[in-house]
Amino acid sequence: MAITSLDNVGAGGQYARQFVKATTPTLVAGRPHSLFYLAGVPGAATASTAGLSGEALTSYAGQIPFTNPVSGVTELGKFTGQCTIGGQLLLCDRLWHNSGIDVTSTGSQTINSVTFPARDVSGTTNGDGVLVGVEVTAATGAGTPTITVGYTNQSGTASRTATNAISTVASSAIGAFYPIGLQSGDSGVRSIQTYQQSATWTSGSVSLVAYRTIARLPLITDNGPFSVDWLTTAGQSLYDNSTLFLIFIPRSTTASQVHGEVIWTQG
Amino acid sequence: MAISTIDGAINGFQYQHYWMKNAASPSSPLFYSLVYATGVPSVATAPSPGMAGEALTSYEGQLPFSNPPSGNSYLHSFSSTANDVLSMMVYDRLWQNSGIDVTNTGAQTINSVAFPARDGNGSTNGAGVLVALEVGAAMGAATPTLTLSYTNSDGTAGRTGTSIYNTISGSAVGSFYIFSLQGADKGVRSIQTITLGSSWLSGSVNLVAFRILARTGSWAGTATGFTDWITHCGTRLYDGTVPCLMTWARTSSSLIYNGTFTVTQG
Repeated sequence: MAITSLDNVGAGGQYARQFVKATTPTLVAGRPHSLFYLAGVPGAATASTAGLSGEALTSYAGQIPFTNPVSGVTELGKFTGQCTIGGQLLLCDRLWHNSGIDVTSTGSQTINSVTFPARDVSGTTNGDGVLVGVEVTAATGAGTPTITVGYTNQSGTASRTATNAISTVASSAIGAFYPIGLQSGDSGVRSIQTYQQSATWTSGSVSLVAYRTIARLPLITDNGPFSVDWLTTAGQSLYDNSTLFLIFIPRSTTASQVHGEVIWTQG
Repeated sequence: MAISTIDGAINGFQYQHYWMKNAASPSSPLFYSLVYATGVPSVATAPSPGMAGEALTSYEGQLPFSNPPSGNSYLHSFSSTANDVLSMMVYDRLWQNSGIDVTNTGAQTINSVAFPARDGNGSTNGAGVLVALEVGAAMGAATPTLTLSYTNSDGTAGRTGTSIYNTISGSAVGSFYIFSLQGADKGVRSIQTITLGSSWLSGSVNLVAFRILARTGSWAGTATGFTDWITHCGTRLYDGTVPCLMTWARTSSSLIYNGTFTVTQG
C-alpha cells in the first residue's frame, strides 16, 4: 500500500507526538544544536557507549516515540514548532551513532562503522541523503579543531573525505552539532571509515551521528509557530524503526524554549 | 465506522463552536491554561476532588463536545487568532486533582484514579498523555522545583519527571507547568507523588493529565492560524473528550483570543 491521496492522509493519521524542551546551554547563532540530551518531552537521551564502530539504531531512549505501521508505509503528516527565538528546526532520523572518539588525538582514528539501517532516502542502506554530524556529548575544552571524516559514498566509492561545514567552537556545550560536508559529487554517506581532528579539543566527548533530515521548519520570527504538512513536505517517508530527533539552528545565542508536535500518517 | 475520506469529513461535520477568551496577566513565556479565563466557554472553577483526583468526561470550562450516536469523532478544524504572536492548543483534559499543599516540601501522595481510555490509542495505558501542574490561585513569591513520580504507559512504576520550564515567582492563575518524561517513556498512565523543592508560600495548584489534540497559532500579531482534518491527519477525539484551550504566549500583557473548534462524526 501507499499514501497517494489526501483521503489517505486523513484516514491514516496517528496521534500527535509532542515535544517540549528548554534549550539551557548557551547556543551559537547559526550553529545546529541537537536537542537529544535535553530533559523534557521526550526524555533526555544518554550518550552512546557502542564504541567506535557504533550502533545501527532502530530505537533509542530520548527519541520522539515512533510506532511502525501494522502494514503499509509511514509518511510525515505534520510538523509544527515554536521557539522563543527564530531559526530553523530540523526533524531527523538518527540512523547510527558511536562513541569512543579521543578528542585529544590528532591522528586518524579508525571508525569502520557497522552497516547503517535501510533508511536512506530510498529506504536502502546505500546512504543517499544520509549525512554525518559530530555531536558533543560532554562539553569540550579549549581548541577549535577542523574535523575530517573519511567515508564511503552512496555509490559505494570509498576514500571520500569531508570536513565540518561549520567551524568548531572552543568549550562547545553538550548538544553542539557540527555537520560534516560531502566531497564533490556525493549525495550521501554509506559508511564511515576514519575520523581525524587537526588539533586537540582538550577535553569532553563527541559522537559521530549518521542522520537523514526528514523536514525543516522555518521559524521566521521569534516566538512564531510554524507548520509543514504532508503536501508541503511532499509526503516524506518515515521508514520502519525511524529514530526521530530534533536539531535546532538558532538565529541568536539566547537560551530558549522549543515545543511542537509531529504527526505521521500510515497506510 | 470511521471517517476515511475528505467527503466523509465534510458530511459528518457538526456545528462550529466559536470561542473567545480574555486572559489577564499570564506569566510569560509559559504554557497557559485558559480554562480559568473569562469568555466563551465559561470560566471553570478550580477542581476539588482531592489528591487522587477525578477522571473527566466533562468539565465546565471545556469546549462543547457530544459523543456521536454511532461511529467516531474527529477534529474537523481548529482556528485561532490573538493580538500577538502565540501558539494555541486544544487538549483533552483527562484527569485533574486538588488538595496539594503548596508549602509542603515532602513527597505528597497522589495515587491517581485511573485515567479515562483516551490516550493516543484510545486506551488507559497513557501513550501520549502528559501531566502539568496548573495554578488555580496566584502563587507566592517563590520558585520551587517540581518533581513528579509516575507510572509510564508501559506500566513501569517509579518514573520521575520535573517541570521542564522553571517555575515563576507569583505565577498567575492558569500557569501550566508541564512535566518531563523519563528516558524512553511515551506517556503517563498514573501519578503517585508530587514534591515541591521549596515552599511556594501561598496559592493553590492542581495536577492535570492531558493530551494535546491540535496546535495552531499566530506567527504575527493578529494572524489567524488554522488546522483541519487533512493537515492534522484525521485527529481522533474519543468518546468523552474534554476539549480545553491552552496557549503559549510571549507576552505578559492581557490578550484577547478568538477562534473556532469543529468536530466531524461518522
